[in-house]
Order: sequence, then structure tokens, then C-alpha cells
Amino acid sequence: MKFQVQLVWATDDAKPPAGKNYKPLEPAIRRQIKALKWRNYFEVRRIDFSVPAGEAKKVPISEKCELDLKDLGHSKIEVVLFGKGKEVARVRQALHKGEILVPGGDAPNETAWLAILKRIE
Amino acid sequence: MSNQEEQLKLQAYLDGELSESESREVENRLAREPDAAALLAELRQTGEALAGFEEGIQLPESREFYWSKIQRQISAPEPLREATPSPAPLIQRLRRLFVPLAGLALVTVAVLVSIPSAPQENIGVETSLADSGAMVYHDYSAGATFVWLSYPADKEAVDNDEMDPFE
Repeated sequence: MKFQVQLVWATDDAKPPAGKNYKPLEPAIRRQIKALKWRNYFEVRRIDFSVPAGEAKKVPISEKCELDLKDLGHSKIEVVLFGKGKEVARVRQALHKGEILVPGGDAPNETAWLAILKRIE
Repeated sequence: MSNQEEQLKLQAYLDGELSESESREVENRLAREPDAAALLAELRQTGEALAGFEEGIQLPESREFYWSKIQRQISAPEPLREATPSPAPLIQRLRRLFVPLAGLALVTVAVLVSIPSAPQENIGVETSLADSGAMVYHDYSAGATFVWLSYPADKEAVDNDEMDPFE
């Protein structure tokens, strides 16, 4: 299975922080996160990776944040989110092609961070 | 008129209750005594006035039958007092309560079983959140599952060189 994880900054500001060359999030992904109500989303980082059938893979998405993704078969995956080395959340669900799993949280100044995990294949 | 008996006789004359000889005697007296004649006229007027106000009573049945009915009611034995039903045993009262409730429960279960499972449940999401303030939200129309965590809360993450959710 192939995946893509995007670290995203959600804000009501029109532009990313000064000096940052964050790109606006693609419209297709924005439509998928329409449940969220920030005005703008900027992609901080993008990581493409694949997980062999029945195996697991750790994917660092920032210095202190990491995803551990395991293929459970039949399109079902287990995602463990680690923050500062500690398990924060564990999610098991079927994730079909095109679907996304979005760990996220509030950030200072009424912004938010998102780690959009999307199954590509 | 000299006395009450003579006045009553005048009333009896007026009502036609006197014999022929008594009537002739009264008529002779009326011819002699103007007071008697005046009293007779007054009695006649009073009788006519009262007759106008009397309402005729129509019995629904014959007089004999009406009185015989009363007589039967008087002579009839006193009806037996209706026995007060004793309270039903507790188990019987409970059965009355629970039988309808059991029926209702069966109908409810049947309805719930017949309802097709929501498509959301087919996703079969299992979550284990160490963060007690975290929540999971599914937007099925968009094919998205959100796991919203309560931290980091007070770090200036975006001001750092690299945004780090757990900075």
C-alpha cells in the first residue's frame, strides 16, 4: 500500500508565517477536510511512503512527531501516533484508496496542525 | 255566613257535591243573604283563577300501574350489596404489567434488527487515545477520519523554523 502524509498548518491568516515558503493545500485535499473551519491550510511537509503487505513502517513527520503504520490486511491499517516518543493515539480502520486519516490538534494563536495521511494505492 | 260549616257548604255547592235538597236549601239562602252570594261569587272566581294555573299532570302509565310499581319497589327485598372485588394477587398484577412491556420490547428489538446497519459502522474504526481530551470525528461523505488531540496547547510551534506538532 502506498501512502502520503502531509503536515499541514491550519490558520485564518491569509499567508504563511514570514520567511516560510509553505504552499497552500491542494483543493482536492481541502475538499476532504471541509469539516474543518480554518480559512487557509498550508502544507509544511509532505512524505510519500509505502508499506509492504502485512508489515509496519515508522514515518517521522516532524522532529517530535512520528506515525507508525501497519498493514492489517483487507485494506485495514493500524496507525499509531507518537508525540515526543509517547503513544498519543492508536487508530485501526479500513482506509481505502483516496481516503484520509487526519490526526490533528490545536496550535497557538487559534491555528492548528494536521497530519493528513492519505492512501494513494 | 255564620260559621265555617256553612262556608264549606257553599264550596261543596260550587263543586256540585251536594244533594238536590241541600242545593235548594243553599240557593234559598243565597237569595236571602247577599253576603253568602258575594262569598259564592268570590269562591267561583278564585276557583276559575286557580284552574288556569294548574298544570295537568300526565302520568306515563295508568294510575293503577304507577302505584303498583311503587308498591313492588317497597315490598321488594333489599338488593344484595355488590361484593367488592378483592385485589388481584401481586404476580397477577405484575403479569398484567409485564406482558404488554414484553410485547413492546419484542417489537423494538425486531425493529432494531430489521434496520440495516449504517454505512459508517462498516468502516469499523477502533481508536485508543492516550489523550483524554482527544476526539474522533468521521466525515463519511469526504472519506475522512479526524483524530483531534488536545495538545500541544501552549507552544509557539509555528514560529519555529520547522512546524512541529509536538514542539
